[in-house]
Amino acid sequence: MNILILSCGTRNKIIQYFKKELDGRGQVIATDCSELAPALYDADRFFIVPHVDNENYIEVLLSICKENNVKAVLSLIDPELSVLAANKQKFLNIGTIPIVSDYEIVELCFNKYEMYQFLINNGFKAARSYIDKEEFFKDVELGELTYPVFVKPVKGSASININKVTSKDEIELLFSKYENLMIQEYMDGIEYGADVYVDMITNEPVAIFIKEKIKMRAGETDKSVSIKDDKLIVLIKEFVQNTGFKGIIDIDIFKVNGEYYISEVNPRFGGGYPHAYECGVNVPGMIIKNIIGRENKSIIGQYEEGIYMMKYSEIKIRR
Amino acid sequence: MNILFCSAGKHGQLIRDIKLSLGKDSRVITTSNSNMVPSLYFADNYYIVPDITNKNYLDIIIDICKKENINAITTMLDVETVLLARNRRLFETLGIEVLTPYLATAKICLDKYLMYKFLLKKNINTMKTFCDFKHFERAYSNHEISFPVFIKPRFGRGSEGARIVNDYEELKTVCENEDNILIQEYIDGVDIDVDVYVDTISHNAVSMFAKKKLKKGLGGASQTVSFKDKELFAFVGDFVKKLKFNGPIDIDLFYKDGRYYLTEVNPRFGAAYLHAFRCGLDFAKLIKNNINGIENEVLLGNYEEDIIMMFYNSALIVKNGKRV
Repeated sequence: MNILILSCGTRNKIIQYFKKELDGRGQVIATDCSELAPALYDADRFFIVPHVDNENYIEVLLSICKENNVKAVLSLIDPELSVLAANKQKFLNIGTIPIVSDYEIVELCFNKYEMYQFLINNGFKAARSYIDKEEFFKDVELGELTYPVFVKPVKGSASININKVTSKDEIELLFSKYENLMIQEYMDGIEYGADVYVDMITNEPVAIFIKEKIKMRAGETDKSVSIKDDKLIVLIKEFVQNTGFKGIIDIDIFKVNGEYYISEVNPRFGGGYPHAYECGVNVPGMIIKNIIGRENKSIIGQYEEGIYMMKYSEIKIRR
Repeated sequence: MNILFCSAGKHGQLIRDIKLSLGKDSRVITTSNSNMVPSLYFADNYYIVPDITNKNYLDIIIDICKKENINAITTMLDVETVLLARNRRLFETLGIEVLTPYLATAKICLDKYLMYKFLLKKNINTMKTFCDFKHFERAYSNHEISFPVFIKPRFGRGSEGARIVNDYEELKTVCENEDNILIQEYIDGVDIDVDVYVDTISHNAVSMFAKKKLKKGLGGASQTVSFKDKELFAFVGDFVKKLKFNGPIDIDLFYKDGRYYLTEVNPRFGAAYLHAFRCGLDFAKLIKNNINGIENEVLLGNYEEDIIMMFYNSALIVKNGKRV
């Protein structure tokens, strides 16, 4: 039962967790387009593959799966999730299960404006967003919202290049310089991250781990503390069931004046997942159970509160 | 030997490595002004202390030294190297070795413009550097410098805020909006980083580890590869003699067209010392020798070339103030 992890990059912990959970029952195989990706060297075997944009990319992956008897495949980077989801059937045809949500949902997650509309239309709260700056200026004049606001690309991974903007002039400048921008209400509140596993057989959320984020660096969680919040769990369950996610997802939520706002959804392992694993929320174990055809029972809320996680740098040496 | 690492910040792996080389009969103690700092939880014991600017700060550090029977003290915070250097005498009366440069050197390392002036005076190759827009403008109109240029904070920590600026207007705007910006000649060369141990008895550079940076990441290199070059060792050894360092230091250089350019010095353990340690160099042992009155012999190039180091994020889990 070999598991293939694509674009492993610096996610050594994910590779380590899968190895631990497989415990000799199979191999963890990793890929990356750079041989300088440290996580490659934690895997049992690895392959250097072309960039995800390469026209032969899927063929390369399919042959790796075939030749290495790969039971399941998953990716750790955003641009690849769409590719994987779009080619789901090709993998299934050769007996490899892609651990990814459906294509439409993956695309929805990467279009922040469409996600905003989806949330609002389905009765969820979300930070007010605009792609039409004139409409935004009108609402500012009406007093519906105030500066500062965030300006970010409608499509884009992590929070890189997110600009906190304080004036109309700046908005005009950014919109004249870049295309496909979105203006988003600035959320001044507590930020939470949720690691959620939706069982691949029952389609039910079976694990939800909630952490309060303590400090942000380049959009990734640096420090966090585990918390429990029944109201938030109910909201996440509703959201996940309404949308039809599968497998592992990572959700960012803001709490402002007692209300929860869903801000971003990544249909993959989030950068802060090690916190959940170390608190006993064993998603790699649940994935393995699913791929051998067994359902997972819900472990929602089964973890300790007040456990802190801090990221720090470790190194991998290649001789 | 007991060593106190002040303000060790996120450098958890460094503390782990130091502990590993010192062994069980030594203790490594850390401090921080926040309990949300990974290095604390890798130490044998830690103390939460006030900010370094607090008037009681030094007294608190001295108390910790006495309580923990500290033999050597160092820091990972650049501004603190000056504070420790200033109070060297006080620590020495308590029998504690201060592993930071002597005061004048510490001040030069902290102020990158002072360092530039020093390098010029001593004829050590470096990049043209200007401390304000006016000086830059004069040189620019005399065609002494052209775009792109490299800017960085004069008193900056790590590579925070360092970036390339491509045109005159942009540079002008940056200089109008930010204080203490250094404007530097941009050299499209190879980023080099050298870990050096300066013996506290002979004040010679007794150990060096040279590495090239392969990719620029946040706050330093993401990947480095080890190399050896006698010319570089001679260049660094010569530089070290011109100042008064004491213990581990980390030197940043550029290499282009056969020449090394020295850019800055962090007079403390470098964040990428981990690479040197995994390649067999052991500065903690050298510290231990010095503390025991043993002078270390100069031993250069005692490591393998082409060993690659890659950084990745690990997760520290803390429950009730302890690592689990």
